[in-house]
Amino acid sequence: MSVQTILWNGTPIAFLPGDTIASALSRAGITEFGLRQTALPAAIFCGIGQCQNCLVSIEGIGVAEACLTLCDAAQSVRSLSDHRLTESAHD
Amino acid sequence: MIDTRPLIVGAGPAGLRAAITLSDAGLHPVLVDHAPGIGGAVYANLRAQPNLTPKLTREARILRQDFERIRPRVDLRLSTAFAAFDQAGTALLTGQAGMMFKPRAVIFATGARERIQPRPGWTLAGVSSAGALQIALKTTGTLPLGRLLLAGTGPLLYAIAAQMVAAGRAPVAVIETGNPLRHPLMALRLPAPVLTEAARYMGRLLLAGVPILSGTDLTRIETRNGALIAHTSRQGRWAEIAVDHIGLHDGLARNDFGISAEMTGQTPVFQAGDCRSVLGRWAAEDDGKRAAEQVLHALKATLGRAAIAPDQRFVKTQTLLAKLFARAPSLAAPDLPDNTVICRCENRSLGDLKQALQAASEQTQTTARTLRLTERFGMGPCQGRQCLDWVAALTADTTSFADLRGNRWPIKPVRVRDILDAPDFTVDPSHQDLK
Repeated sequence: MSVQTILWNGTPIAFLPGDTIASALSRAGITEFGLRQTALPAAIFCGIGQCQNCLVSIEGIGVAEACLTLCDAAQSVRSLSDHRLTESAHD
Repeated sequence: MIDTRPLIVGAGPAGLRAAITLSDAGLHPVLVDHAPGIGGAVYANLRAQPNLTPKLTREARILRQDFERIRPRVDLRLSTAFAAFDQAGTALLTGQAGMMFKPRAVIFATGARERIQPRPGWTLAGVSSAGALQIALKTTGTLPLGRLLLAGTGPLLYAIAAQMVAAGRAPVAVIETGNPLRHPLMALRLPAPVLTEAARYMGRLLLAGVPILSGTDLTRIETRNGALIAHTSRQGRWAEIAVDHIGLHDGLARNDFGISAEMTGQTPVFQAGDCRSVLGRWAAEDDGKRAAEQVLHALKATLGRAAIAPDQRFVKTQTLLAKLFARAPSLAAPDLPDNTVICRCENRSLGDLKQALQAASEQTQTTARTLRLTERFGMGPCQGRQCLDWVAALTADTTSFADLRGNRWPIKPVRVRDILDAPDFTVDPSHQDLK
């Protein structure tokens, strides 16, 4: 079976079936997923979709939690700081 | 046809058991979870990767079997979040299988959240909740690379530490603010299943030689030469531990943000499991069944049974555990510097909070509203799940947790596109105007 990959900021990262974007990045030794709008690091924190600290921009989906979203072959995933997308502040 | 199937939010033990109970009574519930598989946090190994063969507990196996039996009658929507209700009783689901419909009853089974005490450096990459490490282990069998450290307080830390040992990745140490091992006689009053589990975990940690530093605080974290440096304090003695990943955990709280009954108008709404009362997985299943019976009663689909009070054994267990893990009296209260981030989402510090309180006291009363609107505490995308416990504690004389938190939809951030994309089953298509 050939190794499937996602593209993290343009770089191929291998993933296994059932990997979330966070687990694939973590296995590759990537703990920081760019910067949040506050300039604090985006990274895994709660691991269960509550804290919104691991938001990334996913091709075909948009901004979503890396900890909840499963990898799809050849999918492009970017950090929000890389993509010049931002979390929008809300009132 | 207007879709009015009952809705269950959360596919952990409470939500799964609720779905099983409703299905057995002939209903066809919609079961929604934002994770890509069932099990919630505690049974996350039910959604382990296909290459793993996780060891399941007896309860998890029975739960899965029972769920598989009724699976054809449940509309399971994974990678899909419950976002909100509107005044007319329309529920909005977003994500992979989003939709709008009008559930005739709702059970919230949204589980617990980890309380994590703010500390300098807790926003660094590589510092996560201990639970996040456990989820990674349960679903992928792997942990972040390098040296691991666990810190905080509570029984979950030891369960996670023991699971790390079993995975061949023993943590460098467990740093514990309480002195749980000081009270063996009190511990012996725990129910047998809890004691057995605790003994198994502690045995594994002892065998592996994992140091348990009790009565010790992890006071701050910094980075040095690419490593995370954990600074610990114990009765005036300080130490540094260099690691690559730190899991923090200071206990559990209800994940009950935005799910109160008064927000849902006429629709009967019930809470089940840890989001109602943090009593653990066994109680959660009982509670899911109880909530489903309440739904049946409310809908008069069957002769409803009286609400079952939670088994007092579970309540006693939690009270006893809280005593066992009480912060060591020898340990000074955490002395946080002003630049400690309190609100992670909006990057608001303890100093910002103090300044706001100071400024406000000179003019008018500080209220929860001003702390939210002008200081933005609790206003970020986590909606205060991480900071409001601490903001409330720091402003106890002027605000309350309930006021700070408020009660409003959505319960998590929603993309506009998700709303536009959600198929609408709230109206009968035969009566719908042509658009």
